[in-house]
Amino acid sequence: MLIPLILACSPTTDPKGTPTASSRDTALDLAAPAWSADDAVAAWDAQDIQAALELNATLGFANPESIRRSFLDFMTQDDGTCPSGGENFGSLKCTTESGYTFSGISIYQERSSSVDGARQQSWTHVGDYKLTRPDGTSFESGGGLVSSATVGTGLAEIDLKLRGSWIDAGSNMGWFRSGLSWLLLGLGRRDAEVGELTLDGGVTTGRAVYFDDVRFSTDPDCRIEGTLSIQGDDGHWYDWQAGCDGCGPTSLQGGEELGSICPALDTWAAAAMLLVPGLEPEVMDTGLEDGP
Amino acid sequence: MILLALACADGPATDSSSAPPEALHVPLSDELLLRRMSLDLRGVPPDLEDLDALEADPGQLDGLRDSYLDDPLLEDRLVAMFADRWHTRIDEFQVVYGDYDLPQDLEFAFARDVGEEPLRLMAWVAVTDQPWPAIVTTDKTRATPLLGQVWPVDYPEGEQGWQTVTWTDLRPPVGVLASNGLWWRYTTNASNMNRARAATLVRLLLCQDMLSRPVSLEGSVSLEDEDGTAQAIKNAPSCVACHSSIEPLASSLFGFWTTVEYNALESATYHPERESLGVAYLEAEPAYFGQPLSGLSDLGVAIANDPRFYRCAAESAAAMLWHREVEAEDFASIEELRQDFIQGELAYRGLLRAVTDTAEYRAGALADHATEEDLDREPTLRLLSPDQFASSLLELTGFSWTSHGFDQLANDKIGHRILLGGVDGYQVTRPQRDPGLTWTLVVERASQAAADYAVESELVGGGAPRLFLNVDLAHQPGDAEFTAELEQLHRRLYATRADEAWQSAVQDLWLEVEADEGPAEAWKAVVSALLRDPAFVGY
Repeated sequence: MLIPLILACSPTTDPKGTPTASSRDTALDLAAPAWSADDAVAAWDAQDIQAALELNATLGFANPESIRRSFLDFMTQDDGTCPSGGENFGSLKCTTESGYTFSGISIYQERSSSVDGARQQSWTHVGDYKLTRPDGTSFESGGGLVSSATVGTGLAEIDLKLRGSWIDAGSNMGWFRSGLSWLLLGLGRRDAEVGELTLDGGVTTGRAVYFDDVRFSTDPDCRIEGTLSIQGDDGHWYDWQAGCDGCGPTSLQGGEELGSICPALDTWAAAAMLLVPGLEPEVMDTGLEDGP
Repeated sequence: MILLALACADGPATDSSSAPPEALHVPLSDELLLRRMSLDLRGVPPDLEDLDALEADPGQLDGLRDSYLDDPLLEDRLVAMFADRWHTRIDEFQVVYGDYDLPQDLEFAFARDVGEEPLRLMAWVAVTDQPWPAIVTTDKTRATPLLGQVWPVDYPEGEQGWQTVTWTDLRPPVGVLASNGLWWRYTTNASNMNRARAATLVRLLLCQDMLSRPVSLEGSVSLEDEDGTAQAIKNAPSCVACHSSIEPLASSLFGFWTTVEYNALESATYHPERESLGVAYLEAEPAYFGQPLSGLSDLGVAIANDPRFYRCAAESAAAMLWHREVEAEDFASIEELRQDFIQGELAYRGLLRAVTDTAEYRAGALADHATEEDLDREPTLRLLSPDQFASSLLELTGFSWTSHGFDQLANDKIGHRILLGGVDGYQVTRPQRDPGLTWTLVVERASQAAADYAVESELVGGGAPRLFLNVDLAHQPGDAEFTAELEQLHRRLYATRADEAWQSAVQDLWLEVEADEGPAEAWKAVVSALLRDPAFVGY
């Protein structure tokens, strides 16, 4: 008797996967209607994960230095009265003689010193602004960036704290033009032989990607290593355990195994290494510009 | 005078012959019940045609009610009723029109659109007869061209008004749980960490108010001690009771975490890369009352599978239409509504229909044996809300009270919403049930302005007839047209037929003013008085 009743009340799902109310038996009315979603099984397989990772990589690797340069480019338009305060401005809204508009608040500081022969360079930028060019394209921010680097003979280190949302519709970099949101920590170093960067946190450029202690390296034998997660269309996260050979197993986060993949991310990983000082593109010889 | 009239009124006409001897509720007469249904479901009094149809055949009452449930005006009414409970129609959010370089005359429209977004989503689910859990599982929301301009949604080009749209920023398909309007209203900060938002969800969707639970802080740490408080939340039994549920729920909401408050770019966009922050900040994996969640994307389905969600839907629908809080004594009625709701494929309009069938809804008075407690609990005469008053004035006279782009009966920045008994979502969270001094003043001014508008546009300006269907400025008391006009006004405004004493009193008022100031001013005085009558502002 129980089985027919349970069957009568089993949840139904329409062909598009939208939960629908099931017809109910009055004997079970004290229960809530059963709703299902396609969340119990992964909507993506391993190949979908690989395709998503590779597609996302075509936007390039977000680089705080590019954001800083974009901001400083705008500041060259400062005409002395707009924006008042120079790089540390608080402007309701003003337009320069050259037609650039500044609106919002900015804090920018950079510091440089030498200790024991090593250069210490750091900069901090907090933005809550909208800056608009005469052609109508805007650079908008809501967040903060901190970069602290030490560059010495044969050794360079960098500490990055990257937060908030940044978008520049006039940028020629895909990740910047389409908008970036991140909450990311980075620690990088290089010596004469190898450079590496470890990232912890998330970044959304096109798709959301999460780095759980992911290590990028200039070592051709181990360009990337760690757990890199990407969010699927259904909102669920898919993990890829990257191994030194660029391959590794995938899974629905906290769920089923989905098979191994070897996504083509070398170019992207090399672009990530541009975050570490001293590894200029021509030195790296990656064949890359600053991103697509 | 109005205050006295409403306070001392025996209540509207009732049909005592149909009340069973032991029944607590004495039903309203059919025409006043039709008026109540029309005002509740459409926000305007019933048409003359509907009143005629009901008079010819009282059996048509339920059919007319059903036609009101199909009326396009229902959507606006649901938005207004949901607003009284969800409190999202506030005057100013952390992000304002100026943050998007919008002109000042859009200040009200911007705040109103933001606040209505989650309410419009729920109303859309209701009027399209989608199963109610769609409010927490759909990938859609509703937006205006203004929101389409500043939010990441695919507002269709060339369209006008509220349209169904999809978010384009990768937020999970969880209906109102993914609503900017909801989270702009219910903000959080670095110490609260989404906990208040989680408690809000539990209150709005499960009808459980965690903030009202008794908490003993005796022997606990000082709330000024942030580290100690954080530990107490995890260990102190009096804290853990609620926080063991709240923290995991809050942990699922970090996609709406902003790094810069008040920033338009941060606030408008969902941040999927921050979803896992809750685990780090709260040390709690996302979960729904013990059931693990992979994140926000699972939360909607978890709520949809919670029996409390359906009981809450029934309870809040009853509270909206009964115009009072639901109490323990109502358990049987609410349970019946809940079961009807589930058997009716979870269609919200079916639930509304069922509520309007209840004796509580149809009551015009309470029986003689009602106790003081009953009388205090059950208001049988409702006061028009600011929304209903405004939409009724608009329907009858064409008048809308606006200033500098603000709807004056729908804001408190420069308007009079609270003064008229409304809810602003912050200072006032429950609608006023009884008339008050400020209410009287606003009703008076609005009635005068509406009367002036109707007379000037129709009788003086020769515009299309709207309020006046029979007279022009030459007609006098004693003319058949004059008498017919008063009759139709009485019916349209109050849903009942005028008696001779009323006709005579109104004619006397008209003549008195006309003698000094002419017929136009006489009609303004009459209409202004009619619109302030307890029979109009009550229902």
